[in-house]
Amino acid sequence: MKKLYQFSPRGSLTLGYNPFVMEAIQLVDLTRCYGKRTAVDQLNLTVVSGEVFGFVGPNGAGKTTTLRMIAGLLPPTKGEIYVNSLSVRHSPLLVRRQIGYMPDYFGVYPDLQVWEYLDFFAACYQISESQRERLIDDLLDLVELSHRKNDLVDRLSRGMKQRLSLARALIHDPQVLLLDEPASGLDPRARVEIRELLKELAHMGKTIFFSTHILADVAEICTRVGILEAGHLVAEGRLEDLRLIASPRRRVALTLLDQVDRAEALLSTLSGVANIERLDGNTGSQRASLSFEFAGDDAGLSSVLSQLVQSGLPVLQFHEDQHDLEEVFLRATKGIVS
Amino acid sequence: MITLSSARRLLLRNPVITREVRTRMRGGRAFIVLTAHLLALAVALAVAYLLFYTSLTTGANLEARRLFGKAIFGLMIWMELITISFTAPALTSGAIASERERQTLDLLRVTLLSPRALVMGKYFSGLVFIFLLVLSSLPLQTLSFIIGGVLAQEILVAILILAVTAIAFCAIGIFFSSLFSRVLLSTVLSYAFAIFVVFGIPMIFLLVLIVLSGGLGNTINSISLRTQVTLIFIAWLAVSMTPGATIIATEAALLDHQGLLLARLPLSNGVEIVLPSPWIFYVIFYLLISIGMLWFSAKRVGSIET
Repeated sequence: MKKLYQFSPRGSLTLGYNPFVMEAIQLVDLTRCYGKRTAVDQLNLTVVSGEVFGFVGPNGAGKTTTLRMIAGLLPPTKGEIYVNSLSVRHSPLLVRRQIGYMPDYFGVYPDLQVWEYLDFFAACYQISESQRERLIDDLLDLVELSHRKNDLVDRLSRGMKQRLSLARALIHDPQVLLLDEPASGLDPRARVEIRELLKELAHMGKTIFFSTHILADVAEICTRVGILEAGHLVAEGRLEDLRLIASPRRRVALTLLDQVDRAEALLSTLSGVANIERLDGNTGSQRASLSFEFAGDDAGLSSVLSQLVQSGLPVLQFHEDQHDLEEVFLRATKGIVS
Repeated sequence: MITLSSARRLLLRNPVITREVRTRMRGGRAFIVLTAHLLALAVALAVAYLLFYTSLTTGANLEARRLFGKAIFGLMIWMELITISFTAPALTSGAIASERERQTLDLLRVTLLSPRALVMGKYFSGLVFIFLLVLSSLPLQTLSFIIGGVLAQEILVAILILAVTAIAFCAIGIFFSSLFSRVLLSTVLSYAFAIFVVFGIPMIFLLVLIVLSGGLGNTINSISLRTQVTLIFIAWLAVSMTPGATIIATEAALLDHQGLLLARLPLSNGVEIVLPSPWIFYVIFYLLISIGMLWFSAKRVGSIET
């Protein structure tokens, strides 16, 4: 007899969504081969419920293949996938109710209006007709497309289409969102809009698993990151931890209203601080900037800031150099994939 | 096994049918096709009607009127058949392939919509449009009923053959559409298949018959009885697999008072071979082919890796 459902090794007995299940996505020895080429190789990964997980990697690393396997569109060559403890292989229909999938392209029905597009997909998820109108209005409101409700989908801008695509992925109120390059090809404004939407969805308690190579998105919204290279997970963890591993000394920029000498003197006495450099300030401005390397964790860095402030120094800005993130990425990936 | 509730979900609550019908009727395309179809039928009917009236010497000639009624009816059925043969593949041959080209198939495959519901939704939305074309031409068809001479049996068999042709040709389109990812290729092959059924099968069988009978020079009496039986069976099969030939053969049998269910085919020694009437084989054969093609298409859609 065919098994209707199978639970993850640590999963509890559940048919639908169980809020007490901690693992939203679990990949166990996941492997996918295309002929002789191995696109994803024995991937083991757990994404906890409510997390925003950034899946980073160069083109061709296997990000899309992994996402498509989780969405049930591609059977794995080996290994298992569990979504909210349900096996993708054995309970595909139950899993489909749990996930909202947004691919890296926008599937268009050019003859449909915006509301018809959402109505069609709502019907595909067997949402009753009486619920659909309100649901569509709410979703259009969320993605700020209410004013384009009766326009043809084909007439929307790329950014709007991407937001509509996100609304489509949310139509059945899934707990887990699988987003493949949600901000790729968008202009800066549209990218910020999508990023804000993802933040809002994270606040709503959704688990978001998204692939990207826009590192600013990762820094802005991810609670955890996995770096994929040639089908292998080369690094995984909180961004701060990865930064520390990749570069134990991080460079911090400090801007003061004045008293730069006193700040430099104080910094040189603090443990973990090294290589203090003065940066050229704006001419005609009293502001002065320093940069220094810091070896330590976030708590240590926070302590440096509080000591600067407590000693009466007029701190205007105190931030990590964002180039660190690219360094993490470059050090983790060895350039196997172009 | 299709239960009542699953049939309702496949047909009445199928979102694909709603979307397809909605988009098909939007814009001018459906309007143009419908108008062109009705215009062609009306012009043909008007020409035939005028020819009849100019050639008829006396209006009281009932036999001539009956024959004219049948001719008008036959003309309309033939034109409907041509419309169906050339419209049905176009309506469905892009069904699944266009979803792949537009990159929407994956979006559907992650929903709760089953591959069977997708295939049946595409299929029935095409079929519904064909039936709209046929239904809209009914007022023109009624002229033959007013003139008289058309039997109820003829009407029923003609409608059945038209319906099965539409069912089969729409299924062919769906089949090729699920097989290939390009709409153009799927459309070309669907038309090739339709043309083969309408024209190719009779031509192939005709060639086979000529070869088997040893050329056109032989008379029926010079051929052995066994060969005669083989030739008759091949001819019956050819007729039964082609919509146009099936209509003509059934009509000929009715005019010959052979009845609706059996075809009696005489041998040179006076013995008759009795076979089922060609329309029976045609209906059963193409319904089975259609079911097979739709079943395969649903399986194929379920296993596509885009």
